[in-house]
Amino acid sequence: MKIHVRYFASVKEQLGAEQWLDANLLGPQAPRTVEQLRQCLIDQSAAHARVLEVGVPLRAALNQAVCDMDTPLAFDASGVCEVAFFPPVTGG
Amino acid sequence: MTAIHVSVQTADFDQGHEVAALRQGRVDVGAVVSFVGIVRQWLPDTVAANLPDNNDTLTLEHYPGMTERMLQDEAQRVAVRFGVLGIRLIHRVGELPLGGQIVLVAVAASHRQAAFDACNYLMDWLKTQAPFWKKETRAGQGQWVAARDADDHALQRWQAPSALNAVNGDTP
Repeated sequence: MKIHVRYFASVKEQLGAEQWLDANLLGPQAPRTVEQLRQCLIDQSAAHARVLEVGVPLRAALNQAVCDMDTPLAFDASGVCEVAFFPPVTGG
Repeated sequence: MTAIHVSVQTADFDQGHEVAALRQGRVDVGAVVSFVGIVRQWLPDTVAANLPDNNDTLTLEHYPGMTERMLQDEAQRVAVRFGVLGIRLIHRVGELPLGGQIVLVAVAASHRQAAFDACNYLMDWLKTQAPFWKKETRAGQGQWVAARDADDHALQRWQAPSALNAVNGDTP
């Protein structure tokens, strides 16, 4: 069970494009929702905390669909779950 | 049958070609509305006029895969909701110069109101929902563009009952 975390725009500039978390290694601490994953990442470093902390405008997508923070993680047949964090969009 | 074309690309586009493509081979189209978004100088004229260089750029990033799917899905929904005959939606990514074209939305319909509304709505949706991000660069210094509340409000007005009535009305 692996979580593929992806970052975009200003979040990517500060945290890199992606990182992988092995949910099996996390055991009972493994995040079960997007919000729990965010908390898990915040604990990783000061940079993560600064960029992903509550109060900073942040959006998320689960398996390439925009989602709310309380959405449960969902793994595909190969045991991978893709979660992206990014700032509010500014296209058009 | 609605003809939908969606593209996320670095290459430029030709508005005339896209409009022609919407009408090609069909005689049920009575109206085409198209919108092009362009990179403009984001500094006030008085400031920009005093700057020695003109190498400002706008860089667009997106979420490959999710972007294309979201655009395709939304275009399908718009085709049904507004009852239009064709939609062409092109959004460029990468580094664009001042004056460069960013986005094209072109809509064909039997009558003008559906074409105006679908085009207008799609731009409001793109601004607030599609996973694109803009970064302005001047003299090597980049700054991410902040999302605007006004864009969110622009999308919300399409959820009002009055807007739904207006788009469902049969305007010649």
